[in-house]
Amino acid sequence: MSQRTEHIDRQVLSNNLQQNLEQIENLLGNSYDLVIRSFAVGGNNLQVAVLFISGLENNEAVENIISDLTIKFSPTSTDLKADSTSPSQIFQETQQKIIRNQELEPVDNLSLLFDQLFLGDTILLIDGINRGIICNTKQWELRSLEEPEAERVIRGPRDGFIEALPVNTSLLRRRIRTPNLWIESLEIGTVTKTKVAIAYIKGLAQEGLVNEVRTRLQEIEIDNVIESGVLEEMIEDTFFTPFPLMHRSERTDIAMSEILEGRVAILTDGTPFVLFAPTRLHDMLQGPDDYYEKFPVGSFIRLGRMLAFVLAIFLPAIYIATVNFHTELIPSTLLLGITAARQGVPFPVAMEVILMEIVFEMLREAGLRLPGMIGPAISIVGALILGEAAIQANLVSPAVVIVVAATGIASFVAPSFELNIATRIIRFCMIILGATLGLFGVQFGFILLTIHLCSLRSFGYPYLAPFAPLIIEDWKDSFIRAPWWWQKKRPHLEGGRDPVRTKRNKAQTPPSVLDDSDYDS
Amino acid sequence: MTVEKIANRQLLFILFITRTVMPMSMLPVLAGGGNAMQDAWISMLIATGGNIILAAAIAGLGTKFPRLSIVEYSQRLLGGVAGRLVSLLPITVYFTVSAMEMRMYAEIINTAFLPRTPLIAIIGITMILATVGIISGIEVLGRTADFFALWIAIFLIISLLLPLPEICIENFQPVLARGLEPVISSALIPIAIGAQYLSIGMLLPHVMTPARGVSTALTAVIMSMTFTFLSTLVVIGKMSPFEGSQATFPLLTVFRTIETSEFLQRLEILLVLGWGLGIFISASIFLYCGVSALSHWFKTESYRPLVLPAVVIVVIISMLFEDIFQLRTFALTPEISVPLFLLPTIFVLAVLWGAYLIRKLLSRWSD
Repeated sequence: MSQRTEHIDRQVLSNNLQQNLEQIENLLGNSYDLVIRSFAVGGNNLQVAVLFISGLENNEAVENIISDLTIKFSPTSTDLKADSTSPSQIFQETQQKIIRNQELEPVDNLSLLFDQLFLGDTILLIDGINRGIICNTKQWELRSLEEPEAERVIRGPRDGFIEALPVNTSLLRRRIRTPNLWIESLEIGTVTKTKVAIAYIKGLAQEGLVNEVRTRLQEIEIDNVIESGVLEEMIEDTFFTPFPLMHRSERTDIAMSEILEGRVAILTDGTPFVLFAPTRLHDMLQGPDDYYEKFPVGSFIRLGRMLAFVLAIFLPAIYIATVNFHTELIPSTLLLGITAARQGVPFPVAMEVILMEIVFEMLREAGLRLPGMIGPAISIVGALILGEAAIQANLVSPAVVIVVAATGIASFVAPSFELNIATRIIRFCMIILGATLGLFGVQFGFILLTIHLCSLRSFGYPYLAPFAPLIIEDWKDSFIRAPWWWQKKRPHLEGGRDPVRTKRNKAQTPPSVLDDSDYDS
Repeated sequence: MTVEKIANRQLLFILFITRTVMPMSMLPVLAGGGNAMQDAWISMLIATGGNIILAAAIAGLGTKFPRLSIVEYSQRLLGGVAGRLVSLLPITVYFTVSAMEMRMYAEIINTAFLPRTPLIAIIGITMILATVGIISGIEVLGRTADFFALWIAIFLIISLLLPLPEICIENFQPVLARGLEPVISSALIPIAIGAQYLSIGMLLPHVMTPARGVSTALTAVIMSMTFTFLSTLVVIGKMSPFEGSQATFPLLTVFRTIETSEFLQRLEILLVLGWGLGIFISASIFLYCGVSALSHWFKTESYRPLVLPAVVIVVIISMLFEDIFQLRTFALTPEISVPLFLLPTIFVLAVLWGAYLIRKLLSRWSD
């Protein structure tokens, strides 16, 4: 295939229209969606052809090109000069002023011609000229802007990114109306030639970061970029970790806030998922709602989310460890309850928990794949009937069902799905540690996890910031979400080039001029 | 090779953690041979002074050679052979302290939670953590210290606040009944443990602003001595000085007796968790100091190939103690710990400072 690509790259257009058309048709293997419309213009019946790919073109724009040409160069046209019927004259006049189309570009090699053709542009070829004209006629079917399924919010904008890069960049442009929003583009994928754009605020994002992102993207050598996940894995700092080193989102407001905090957004054509670099662990525990609701509410929700994240990793392990090794830690009444409920269960606690966890994981995966109609049915069967039956049959104890269910719920609390997957894997490791070494093992796991998180970097930025390294000033937007009045600075590391978000920002106080003495008396 | 950097704050946390967790587990001021009994808190105050002098001397020397480790500048000050010989002393201290902390932690876990697990298993598992930490580098250890310092402080504060209502003031009386002598001799051991501050000699070159090394070190000394002082008060007040000096892990024993409510009974788990986090930092830092000092001693490119052999040596040293009582005697008898830790430290510091001052005088003279 690469030989064919090289061969195509070497081809150029010739003077003979018929030969050019045959060559293009041959190279495309007579693909049915290539449309060629030939017609004659001018007094000498000069042969002209327009080529486009059906389904990608704006039909009206193509019609306009044809009608413009035929009217302008019709043999009966009054303003047709005698000398303007030579092929080169027609080519020049067409390129300069005849066609109503806004973007016209000459082309002489086949590789650029194909590039533009597959983007939906129309190519105009004239007999006797070894160049063509690219006319912008792109228009293809787009999904409408909807709220992303996986990132719903109670309060916040309802539009999300879609699969088309120009639409996505326009969404950003419309919201961040400053010339400092720079959007660079590059092409990745030797076969798919996917357009990738990096967006950042010039003067806010650290130059080193932008260069790093650009270099890493440029260094990619791969044949396809089907989704931004491919890019993510190619450019992240290390792939030996279950944790996502880049935040991704379909939400426009998240993209906005990330860019405005000095990060770089990487938009990929063909996917609504935008990547952000660098990212920190706690970015993935934040939801857009935190910022839109009042600050005590936002902070409370966020604390709950952190707790849920910790529970999702450690709860089953702690349960197994205490029940197996440290029964003295459990108050006697509770211990009696747990022991009584375990009467007749043949498996050790660890086995019970692992069994239930596996069943739960299968349920979750099945629920994801099932068609919408039968999804709820499966979850009812799974959650209610299976759990109930397992307890009835003395296969598991009720306490284990509660622990596994609570863990399952907790693992869905984090707004970022990619973090949820990471917690699942780690949870199983913790269960094994807790089952073999008790709380000491859980602590071992905790320390190991901390070392791992501390050693992670996202584009060189520490992953566990602002907790390690400790950046107290960033705590205003970490455990809690402080009122906007207090958040006068951008994140210390990413927004360091222009740290001040707002200089003069004072909370409101009741106006002193208002005379309300009448109401008091 | 780029030099890994840690912030001054991270050095502060590292020193705080290393100096707080292990001494707090045994409270040497009480259990030591000095017999200060109810006046142990006065010994603590004296020991704080001693620690401040030690830490200031070590950090002060480091600030004169901001980018050199203690092994490197002792060679520069004393010449190749003598410098190497002298720097063997700190290296020995690093490895011994690391081994003792490992053993101590294993004993705590053994006593408190896993009575049937062999010590070697606990030490081995904790060593895995230390190895991973050291191989990840001092930057990662610094960040881990950042992350844990807060938790350790919270666990310790809760642990110290809970017994407060049950403290008995009579336990502190009579003050200075037997004169100052036992008080001063009790202070010797906490001062000897100040040999731990030799770690500054290896860590200071990695700090962002070594010039502020002395103030960083002194802040750490004061923070950790405050915690140790408070825990001494709590143990004396809650247990009576005699019981306190007899208990293997006095603080742990205090918390075992606390019952906040019907439901929350075993609160010492907080303390042990805090200790666990701290011991990990502490043991890895001393091990790190040991291996990086060795690599400077042998002038190798990287310390990482030395980690595994060093781990094996530390595990062996930690298993040399027959039981916790031998370890206690070893660490808490002034006749052993003073010549083993304090005198070498003073010797190293005196020699290095002397050489530095003489060189300075000579260079001033030749000008």
